[in-house]
Amino acid sequence: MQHIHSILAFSVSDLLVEHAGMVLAAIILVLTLIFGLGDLLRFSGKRIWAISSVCFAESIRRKVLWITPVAIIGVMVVAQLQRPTDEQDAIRQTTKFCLFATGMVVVIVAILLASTSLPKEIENRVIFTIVTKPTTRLEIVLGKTLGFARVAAAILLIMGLFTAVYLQVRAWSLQRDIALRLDTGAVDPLNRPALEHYRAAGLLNAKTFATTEDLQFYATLPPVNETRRYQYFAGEGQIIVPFDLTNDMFIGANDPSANYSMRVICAIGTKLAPGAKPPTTQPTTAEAPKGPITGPLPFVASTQPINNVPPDPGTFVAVSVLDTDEAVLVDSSASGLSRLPLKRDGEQGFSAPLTPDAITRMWIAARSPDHNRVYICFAGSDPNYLYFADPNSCYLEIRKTDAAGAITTRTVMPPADPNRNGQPMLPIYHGGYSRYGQPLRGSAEPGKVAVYHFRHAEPDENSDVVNFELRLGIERSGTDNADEADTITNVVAQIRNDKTGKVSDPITIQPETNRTQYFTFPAADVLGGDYELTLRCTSPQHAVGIQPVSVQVVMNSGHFYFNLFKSLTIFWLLAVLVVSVAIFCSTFVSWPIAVVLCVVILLGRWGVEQLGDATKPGIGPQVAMDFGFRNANEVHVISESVETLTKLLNMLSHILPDISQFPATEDIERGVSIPLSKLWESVTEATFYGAPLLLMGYVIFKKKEVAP
Amino acid sequence: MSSAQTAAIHTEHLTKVYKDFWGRDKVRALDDLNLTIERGEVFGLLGPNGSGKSTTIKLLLGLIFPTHGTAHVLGSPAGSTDINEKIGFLPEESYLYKFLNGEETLKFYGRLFKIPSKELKRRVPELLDIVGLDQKSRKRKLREYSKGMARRIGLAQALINNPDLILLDEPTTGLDPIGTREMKDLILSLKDQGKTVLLCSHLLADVQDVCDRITIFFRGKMQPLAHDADGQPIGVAPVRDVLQVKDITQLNARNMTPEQIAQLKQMLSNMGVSDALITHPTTTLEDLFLRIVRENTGGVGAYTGSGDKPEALRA
Repeated sequence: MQHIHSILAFSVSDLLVEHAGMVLAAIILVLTLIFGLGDLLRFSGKRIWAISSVCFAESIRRKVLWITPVAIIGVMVVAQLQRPTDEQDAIRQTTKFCLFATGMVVVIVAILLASTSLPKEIENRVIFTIVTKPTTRLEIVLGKTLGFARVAAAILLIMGLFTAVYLQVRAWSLQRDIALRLDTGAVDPLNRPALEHYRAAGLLNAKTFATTEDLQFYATLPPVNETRRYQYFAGEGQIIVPFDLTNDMFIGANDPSANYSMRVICAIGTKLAPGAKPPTTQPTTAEAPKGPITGPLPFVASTQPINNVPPDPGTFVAVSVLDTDEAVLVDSSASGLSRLPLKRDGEQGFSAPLTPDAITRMWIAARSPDHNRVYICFAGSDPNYLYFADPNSCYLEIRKTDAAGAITTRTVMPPADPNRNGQPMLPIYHGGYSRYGQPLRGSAEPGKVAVYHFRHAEPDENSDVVNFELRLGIERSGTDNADEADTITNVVAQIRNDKTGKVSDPITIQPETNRTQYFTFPAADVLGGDYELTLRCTSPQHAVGIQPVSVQVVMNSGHFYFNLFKSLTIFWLLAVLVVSVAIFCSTFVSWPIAVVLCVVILLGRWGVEQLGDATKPGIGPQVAMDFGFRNANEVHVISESVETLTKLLNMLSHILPDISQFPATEDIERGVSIPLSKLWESVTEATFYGAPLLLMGYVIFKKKEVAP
Repeated sequence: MSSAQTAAIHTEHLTKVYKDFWGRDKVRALDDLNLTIERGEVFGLLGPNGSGKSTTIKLLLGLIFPTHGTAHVLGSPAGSTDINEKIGFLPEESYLYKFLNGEETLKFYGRLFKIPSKELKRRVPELLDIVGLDQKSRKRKLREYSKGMARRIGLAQALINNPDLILLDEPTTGLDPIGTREMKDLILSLKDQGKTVLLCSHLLADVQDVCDRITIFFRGKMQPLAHDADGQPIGVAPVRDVLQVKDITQLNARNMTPEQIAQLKQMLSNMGVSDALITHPTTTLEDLFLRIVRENTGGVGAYTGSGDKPEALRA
């Protein structure tokens, strides 16, 4: 098994893959200093500006800007074809069209101009009269970059002005229509609150929201001083405990002579659900874990007995493992994780032994630094019981038994929670899965609740009320033939303030699928900024699907046009990066190839990311397993080859720029203020990739004979 | 001090071999060139097409890099950016931005030399006057220029920095006889100011009229034009020496009568000169053309080489 274990340890090449961009940037900087120190000392902003002015003049006189009216006409035509759900959606779609056209125009123009400029000047020999002047090649490269960046700025200015004017006219027209409808009463009662909000707040917004990832689903709203939380399982709910794995937790994982075992230990308790009767049938005893498995797995099952589950009948709990993306990593039925019986009506610690296959999969996750969080998931099947998990008693235990029989044990606790003074994170009470998110089933009686826990979410604005927005999906059952009243879904929202302990008056909302609802609470209810917002669906036979982002608190409202400016600035930074890439390509290939290469460089990283798990470390043994190889030598060859290819691909993708760092449209479309941090990320990305590429282009160009 | 440091141009074993994709020798464009051009002279590079003239100029300007050997220009290695401050270059065709007009072109190149805007405002119209581009032409885009106008604006950009060394590659190509004469006059005026001119041409008359020394290239090699005291071939020689026919004596005199000519013939016969030819010389077509134009216009262009040199060209 030595050959398998040789792939386990982190090596220098792993570091190179992770920091390929930094390493390359350092090499380029050194090369630039070696080859271009003289040119750096001669650097003249005046010459760069002169060259950039010629590039700008060329673009203008070749009527490049005529592309903007074409794009504008395109936007206006497409805008007529939109089918918005409401007025706000109309503005959202129009914004999207305008910015999409703006982005397309500026990027395409930047690629074409910058890729063709230098090769064409070499081809028609204009470059003779430039390089024979006291102009350094560095100044030529930078001058052209600046020139095309100026062209991009001009295009963005025109498109930005058009976008601003067009949206203003459209918003004015829509708001006039809203006012007319509200005044004449020609409004569906369901739509009235939203329309009144639009009339009051306007349609061009740039709001800053507070959201929370802390969304819990409880069987019932726990009393204020009660720490124990209960969950309905009933095929829907789950209790999830997060763990951050690292390679070193798998003690000496490259020791082929050792046996490994791993188990999940947690205290799970139950109590009979209100009004439920205990079942008459008795569950069978626990299933034994599978194993040991021979073959290419780096972990084999321990021969030590670790399963101390008492053969006591009770309700079942199934244990599975989810990966960072909450996809199933180890399924409870398929991977040998036992469905463990649990005592009814009480708390019981139990251990769930993991199979070698499960350990291997978790170890693979541990080797990926950005993908190393796993979630241990407990789910029950008995609808008559409520379940809870003791937050202080959940951990993983990894045990190694070496050839001499010595046992080494490591305990892995849930990661520290900064909101709990570094104590382990509490279990997540998950509501399960449905089309629109976690389902919150309706009930006329107080019961299942979704709790959003907000922290530091007190709005800055001096206002008597706090604005909330809710966006969810509705799932109804058996309402096809019902009258209209039955089809209305009611959701009740309430706030419980952590600081004051005050519970607000409930507010009833009548939401529609994927349509934002606006509601307010008095500012006093959110005093201090730490509070829980609870949602309950009070319509039987209905369910609403919600997500952590379904509820947002409006922290403040900024100016839409400033937001538009930020969006255009991000586009401009993207254009600068595109120009840098294009000019780099044009220093060593002809212009048609430069255009193609430029597109490949810009989209390469995105393309690799689309491959998903296929590029994650540890894919080698997995591929060998999936293809059914069991011979050690074959496994070795396949694993090593796949791992090497994956590393190369990852290294390449880490070198390439990440265009997702230029989120110019997402926020503004949703009426959300673009945070300055996103602007800064774009600046960093454009600089980090643009500058080395330009320097590399300069070094290549300096060594290039420009006379054909 | 060595020739490399004192001479305007100095090359040693300068060789350029173009290679194919696989790195194999394809064309030996220039072979082992050893050449020294002193400061202040007008030097002519002669040769048929493809003989290596333009390759030499490209090597001197750093547009291409030598395969072997070294080249120094004004004391610095060829291609050095610093030395470009003192060089003016007119390529074989006017490789300029066609979307700019004449004035914009000169301003652009002036900015590359970091010439202050105030100075450019004065120098640009002056240079346009020198090369004979009128007010209307200088506002037109270069794409609308005739070939002759393009050569003129090309020459103006080569002079924008008042260079010490001017490299002219086929400067009279595309010019009419008046333009050609103006170009020659300009070259001579540059020489008068102590500037060095390297003239590269296959039009022998141009070179003959203005150059102090010449060399002739053929198939990438400098061809011998004379022999030194040791009988070794020399590739560079003064034009006068090369063209002089030493066994024939020519006497020019104005307005001789037929009687005087007869007496002269008799005198020469008495001196034992047997095959003396006494006849009226013919003018050149260029001279005839220039005279007709001059008579009809009162001048041949903006600059006549009369000695009134614009300030931009003063050393």
